[in-house]
Amino acid sequence: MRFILFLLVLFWGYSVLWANDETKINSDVFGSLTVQHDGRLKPVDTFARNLLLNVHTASRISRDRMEAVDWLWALVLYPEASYRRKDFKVREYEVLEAMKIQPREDHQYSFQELRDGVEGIRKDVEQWLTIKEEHQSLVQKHLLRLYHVMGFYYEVSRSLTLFEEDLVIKNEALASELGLKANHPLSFYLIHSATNRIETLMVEKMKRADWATDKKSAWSRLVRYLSDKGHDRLATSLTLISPKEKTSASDWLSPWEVMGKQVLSSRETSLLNDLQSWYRSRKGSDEREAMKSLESFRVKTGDNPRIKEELKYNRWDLFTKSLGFYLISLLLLMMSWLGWHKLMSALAKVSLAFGAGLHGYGMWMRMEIMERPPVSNLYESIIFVGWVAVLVGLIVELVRRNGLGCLCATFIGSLLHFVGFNYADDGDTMGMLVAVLDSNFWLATHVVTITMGYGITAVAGLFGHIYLIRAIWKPGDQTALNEIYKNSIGISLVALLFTTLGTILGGIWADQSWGRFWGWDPKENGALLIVLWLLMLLHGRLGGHFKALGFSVGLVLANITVALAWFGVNLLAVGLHNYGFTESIAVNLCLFCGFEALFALVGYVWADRRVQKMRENSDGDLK
Amino acid sequence: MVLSSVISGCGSDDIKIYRVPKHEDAGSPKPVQKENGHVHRPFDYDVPSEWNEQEASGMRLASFKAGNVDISLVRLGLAGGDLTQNVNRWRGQIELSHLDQDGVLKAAEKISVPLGNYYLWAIENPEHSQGGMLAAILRQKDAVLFIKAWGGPVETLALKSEFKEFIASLRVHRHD
Amino acid sequence: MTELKTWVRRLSSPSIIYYSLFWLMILLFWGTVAQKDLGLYQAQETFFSSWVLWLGDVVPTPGGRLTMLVITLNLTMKLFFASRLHWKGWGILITHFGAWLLMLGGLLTAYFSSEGNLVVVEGGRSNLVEDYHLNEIAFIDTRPVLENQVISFSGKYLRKGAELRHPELPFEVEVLDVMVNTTPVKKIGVVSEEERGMARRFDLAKLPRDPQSERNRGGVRLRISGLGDQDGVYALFSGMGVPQIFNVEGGEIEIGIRRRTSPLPFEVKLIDFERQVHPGTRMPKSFKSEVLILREGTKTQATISMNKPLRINEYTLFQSSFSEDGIRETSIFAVVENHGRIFPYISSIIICLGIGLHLVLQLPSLIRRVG
Repeated sequence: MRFILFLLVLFWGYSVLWANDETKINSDVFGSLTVQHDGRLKPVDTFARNLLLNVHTASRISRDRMEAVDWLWALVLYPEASYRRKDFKVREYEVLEAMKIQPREDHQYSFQELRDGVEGIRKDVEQWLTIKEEHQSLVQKHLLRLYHVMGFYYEVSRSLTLFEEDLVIKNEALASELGLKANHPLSFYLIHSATNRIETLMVEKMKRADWATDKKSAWSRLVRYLSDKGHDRLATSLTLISPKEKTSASDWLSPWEVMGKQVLSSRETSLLNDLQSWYRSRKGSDEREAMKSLESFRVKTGDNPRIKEELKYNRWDLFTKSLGFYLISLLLLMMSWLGWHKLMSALAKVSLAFGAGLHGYGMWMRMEIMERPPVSNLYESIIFVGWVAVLVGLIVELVRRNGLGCLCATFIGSLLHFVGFNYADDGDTMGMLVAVLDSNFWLATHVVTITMGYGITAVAGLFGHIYLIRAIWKPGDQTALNEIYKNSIGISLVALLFTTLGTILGGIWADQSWGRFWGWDPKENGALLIVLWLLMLLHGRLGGHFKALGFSVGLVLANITVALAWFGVNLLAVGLHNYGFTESIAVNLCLFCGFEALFALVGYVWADRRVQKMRENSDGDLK
Repeated sequence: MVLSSVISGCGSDDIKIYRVPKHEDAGSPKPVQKENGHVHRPFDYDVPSEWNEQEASGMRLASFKAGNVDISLVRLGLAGGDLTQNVNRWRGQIELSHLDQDGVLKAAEKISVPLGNYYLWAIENPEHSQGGMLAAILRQKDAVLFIKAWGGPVETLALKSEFKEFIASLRVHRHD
Repeated sequence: MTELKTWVRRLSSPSIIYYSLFWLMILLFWGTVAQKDLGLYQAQETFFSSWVLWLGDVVPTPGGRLTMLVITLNLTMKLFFASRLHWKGWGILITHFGAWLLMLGGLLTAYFSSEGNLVVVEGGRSNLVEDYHLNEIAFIDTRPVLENQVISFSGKYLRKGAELRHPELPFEVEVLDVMVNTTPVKKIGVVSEEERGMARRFDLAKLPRDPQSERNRGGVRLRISGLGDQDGVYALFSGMGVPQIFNVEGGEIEIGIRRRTSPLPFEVKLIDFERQVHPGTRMPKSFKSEVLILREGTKTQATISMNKPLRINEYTLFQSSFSEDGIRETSIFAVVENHGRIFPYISSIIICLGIGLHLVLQLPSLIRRVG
């Protein structure tokens, strides 16, 4: 019976993954093309998601059921139409007010509207750009950020305009002199073949003086076209054109950038020809020809296994899926307390394990794509700690089999996933590292150890919570309470080992890199705080200053030290450790710390009272 | 000396005595000396055939005209050698917007000539009557050389190859 | 004898470390938050490296150093006089020993190490290390033919009333006033007879210490005597445009106030500096300096890059940062001289072994089902 259920769960999980895959793989070859952005090679799919995130604060347009890559496709093929579509999401009313735009309930606005709004206050914006960041008001900061995103949006939208076949040279004489087809739609790119002749003609004003009026006017129209279209030369972000030597250090170019070169290699010409053909067929709705050209382009720019991996990673969205399994596990666990205990708790464990597997695989994929250890930025530390907490919970569950471990795992795992999603919305989570951090050895040792320390301390903290709740609920159950107490001492020792080792490794890394083991840097101090707190709890217990209840309260408060060390230090932005910065975290941090402190206080007082009452009723050494 | 005093404890190296090499402060270059009313020319060069050499006055070490394009050779102290500032100043002169440091470096051509390495910018504003500029910055040990051609957009940019040849021909004048 | 035992027990009690850790954590938290306003250096001096922390300038509380001393003493007593020798306690014994070594190493580093900047221009060479924070009064004697001779006074000589004397200086100097951070302001009021040079036109205003160390410009007022008509009161500050020069027998001596400079026993020549950015961005990927180390006639080639420092004797050179002024690049190295360097490495291994051992010994009883 159990086995059948297990298979069902397995099949369901697989089908969830597989189903999503099918619908995606058939569409865009476009999304699978490679661009170089922010220092690394990524699929156009990722580029599209990040741009849409910045513009629309979500990685798909739910209103139109558009995926990011489809949206980008529309943006580069039909820029003018896109400008009228409500692509932008702006929630800050003061910013809209400043631009004299009427706020809408769905917060969605078109580029056109926003551009007009900015034009109206152009002088102000130019002045604000000169103000130093720390002196800018919140409105100015938000508006300038929007301004930059708009600029980026516009720039990307112009990426393929060089392929737009919107010029016709009616004058046969001019056309033949330039070696171009008369009465035939030409694009900037196609005219490029005649560049030398055009440049010569530009300089030799004397020669042109003898021309017929028609020819002269066709000429001036051509020159004006080239000059106007040429403004799109600023479109340098969609770097589709690979360099000849594809090492990680060489620059990829956007089609417009390639146009800026004096001489194009035959390779570059062939790539641009493919794009021109694709553009033409796409606009002409010749699907087959379009697909052929795009495939030809893709093959020539080379297939990169890491790009394929990242595409899969994007589409599978493993962290959302593992969150789903964690929540289901939590639900099943709660149901197991009501009835069908054996079945429900078994299913809960299976679901948890499956979720942990997906979670771990997601991390593994990231490691493969970025070719570095699992924790290299704040986002990854959140994902990692969540996974560690789940693993620790699973191990405890295996040993104790009382549902406690499972509870901890699902709770912390889900919570940290939610926190992680918040961070993922900031943009590309697979960023490059600044020079001082770019060392795989130390990332693998110090960072992994210290984040494991965070995770294990969090589990210990959770045990503290559980003790207090249990003491309030069933103060007489001495056995259970003692169990929890002993477990939490063990876990806090393990936490001490990892946090101490991690902190010391950090010091050694600092000594190797900057010449000093300890610099009282905020991040170092934060890690030390956790170590000292755990030390203090352990020694206080030995010195008889408190027993189980006090120790559990101490563990609850340990969570505050973890939160401060992990997120709080970034708010100080001083010293060598400010590499994971974010603004809105301050409020959440205060709320969390406040909640834990309140829980500790109320929990202690209440549990103490209950215990006192128990003691009045019977013998027993509880406190 | 420093070593032993550190080992023996803090405070005793509060007085130090040691030797350092003498060097002149490489700030402003030595002024160009005038002998018998003639400017003592520090450089020799080959003048392209279409260029007319003019009287070099003021800051200029050499001055030429090619059609309506004005070409100058100026030498300044090291302090004036910041690329971004200079390029943006020139851009501003022909009503073009400023670039950031990255943009300035990206737009430059880096060329190697006997006199040294230099950066070349071809700056163009078709909507400005005098919107054509070729500018080069060449750094020497104690000074910075600026070679600039300025005129209408089309004529100036057409001089690019001659401009480059001129710079390639620059050499230090040998005093006999 | 029992009285001694009582004292040993009291002094090695876990309660001492319990309360000390509590206080240390308060210092840690407070000092970290204060860094935003005071800057790293000053926060460190006030909270962590100090013996006493004054609350509101009135109430003395134990500073970081004092607290750690108490912890070290407590640890010493416990480790050497009150350790549980039964094999079950070996994990803790080893851990305590490791922690003790760590504290010892910290003590050595605090008193026997120094750091500073070595700035070398591409193609140039230098052996002078500038301290990040401390200043000195330097006398540069340009009389010797081949090189200049520098005599500098720092530390205890940089305070009011100090007298600067040296057999090779043909005059006497008395320090009248010292400022950590100053700026010249136009002199208002009467110019005294004694005042000479810049001091006739400007006063040095005392500014609060800037949290960013590099921005602090030191200032000093000196009385020179023994030079006849050049005697008088002079005012100097860091980065003066025109240096203060005295004519003495045989030539000139220049006086200035600047960051404390120490010569290394070797010269560093920068052959090439290379900076790589992540392609398509401005974010630095790696910095690298190709250098030549020159000492006593030998030349050694080496590369110094981020995460790969160069160790020469007791000195370690790190690629710290760089600057460029257009075409030429300057590499900036952090030079550290640290005699307690080895301790954290040894003690960390020992501490982790200790905790690990303790866990292994204790864990079964903690995790096993009760009853």
